[in-house]
Amino acid sequence: MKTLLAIENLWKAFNKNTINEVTIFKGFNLVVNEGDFITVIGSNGAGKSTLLNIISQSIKEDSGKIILDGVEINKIPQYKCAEHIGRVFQNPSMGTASNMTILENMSMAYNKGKRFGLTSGIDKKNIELFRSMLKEIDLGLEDKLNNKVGLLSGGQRQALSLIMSVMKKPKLLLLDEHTAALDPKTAEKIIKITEDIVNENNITTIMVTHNLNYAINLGNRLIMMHRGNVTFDFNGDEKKKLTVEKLLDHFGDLKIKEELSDRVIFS
Amino acid sequence: MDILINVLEGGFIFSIASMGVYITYKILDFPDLSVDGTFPLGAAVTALCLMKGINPLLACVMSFAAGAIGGMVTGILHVKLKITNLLSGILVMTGLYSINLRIMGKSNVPLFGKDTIFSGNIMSLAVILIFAVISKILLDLFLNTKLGFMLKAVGDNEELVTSLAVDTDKIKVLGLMISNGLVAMSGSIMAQYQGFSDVGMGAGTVVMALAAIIMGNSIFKEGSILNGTTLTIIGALIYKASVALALKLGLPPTDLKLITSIIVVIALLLNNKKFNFKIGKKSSLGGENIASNRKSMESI
Repeated sequence: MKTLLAIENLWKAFNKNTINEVTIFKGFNLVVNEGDFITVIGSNGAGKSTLLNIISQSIKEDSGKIILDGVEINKIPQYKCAEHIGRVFQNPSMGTASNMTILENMSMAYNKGKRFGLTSGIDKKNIELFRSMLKEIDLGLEDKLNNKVGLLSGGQRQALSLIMSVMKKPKLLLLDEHTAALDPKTAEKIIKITEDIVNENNITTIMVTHNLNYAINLGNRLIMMHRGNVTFDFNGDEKKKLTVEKLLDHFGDLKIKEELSDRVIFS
Repeated sequence: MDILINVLEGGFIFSIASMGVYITYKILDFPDLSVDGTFPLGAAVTALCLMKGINPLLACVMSFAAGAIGGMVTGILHVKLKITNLLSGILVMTGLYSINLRIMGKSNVPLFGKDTIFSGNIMSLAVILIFAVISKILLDLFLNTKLGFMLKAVGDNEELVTSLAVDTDKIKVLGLMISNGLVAMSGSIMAQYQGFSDVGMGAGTVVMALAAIIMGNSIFKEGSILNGTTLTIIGALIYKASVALALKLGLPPTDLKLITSIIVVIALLLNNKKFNFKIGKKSSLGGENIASNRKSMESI
């Protein structure tokens, strides 16, 4: 199987050289194969979001290599490595321009990777295509192409962000708790759309989530992170056998180990 | 009647500068103070060109270019040297004061008797109107191109533009260049209109332009017919009219800047209170009104 993303010996600390220094990654390694759909879980502060931020280079690493499809992306400017990465954030307003219409937003996303020159921003030929894309997700957005995105609900915006992030098929799709700000029913819907989009286009995906059910039911690989390390890595069949109880047990194990080590230190 | 024509002439000249500031203030969300320096820069370049007998139209173009360079410096100070946007503008504005003096050689250059864009047989108002309308149309066209979309998106959500693999730094610099170019061209026309170029004529440009933009946008509501640039032009006219009215009421011209500031404060107050005449369909914000039908609501 072909390796799509390799992270080698990653080091990252925040607030360096201050009393508040926190080292998140100490020689972190991760290999992602092409076609993988990885769900990532872990306690707060485990480094999940930091990991996605470093992969998309919105945060710079201290040292280490991030290789996407043979290119060392930590050596090129952020906007350039964005060309092959699609990303949806937790905050629904991060993935769209709220003062612009749905049509304008989709037109921009459709043009990703090409020149943004002095030709017309909206190509009338594409309107039908956009409409059919919106029809597929069934949120009634297809009739609102000329509405400003700021008027949409969080769920609608998040669905739109998802579509936009994969309009030009990315090599890697990063989903950073993209359902966390939504109500359960909407979240369910967005997860369904996510699954459809990823499977249809066969996009390599890393999805961070706090919902253990989603983590178990989606994708072919599950990673549990704790304090900047991969503590469990379930693949294929192993992952299929997972249940929420088993995962919670693993979480519990980590807690006990931590308490033990604390006790050792303080005794 | 004379007053009305004067208001229209001054208003349309000024609307070009206002459209420039509209780009930075409304679209890019960049409080750019360098316009206080690029407005007289346009006038200074024009003075120099006219003294040397260069075609006045060409002088306008060169003023635009000079302004664009000024805007580029502001942009580079901000995006490359990481100086805050406000300070970048102040630095350029301050530096330009000396540069403008150098260009003109003295603080006031009279242009009487020189060949200007108003020397022809056409009415001054018509000449000004042509400049304002062409600027507006070109700006509107630009804002509807892919590059124009990027400009709007940078002010809206920088993160999105980066994710589209576009360098936000370049877009910001470009926006500042167009903005300051328009402002300098406005300065150029102003100098030719009033018959002299003065190093102090730029003071307060940014506040006056803000007054125009905010007045235009607070009295009327943006819509498909009344788009942002149209509202800015209307605002510039209203601003000039209110200034003329204030003078007519017997206030001394030295109070103009104070009046301007008060107008801006009042306009901002009106804006906050949503005290505006809506044109066209009324719409209120609320989940149920926004979702077009029950199906779309239930499906989420």
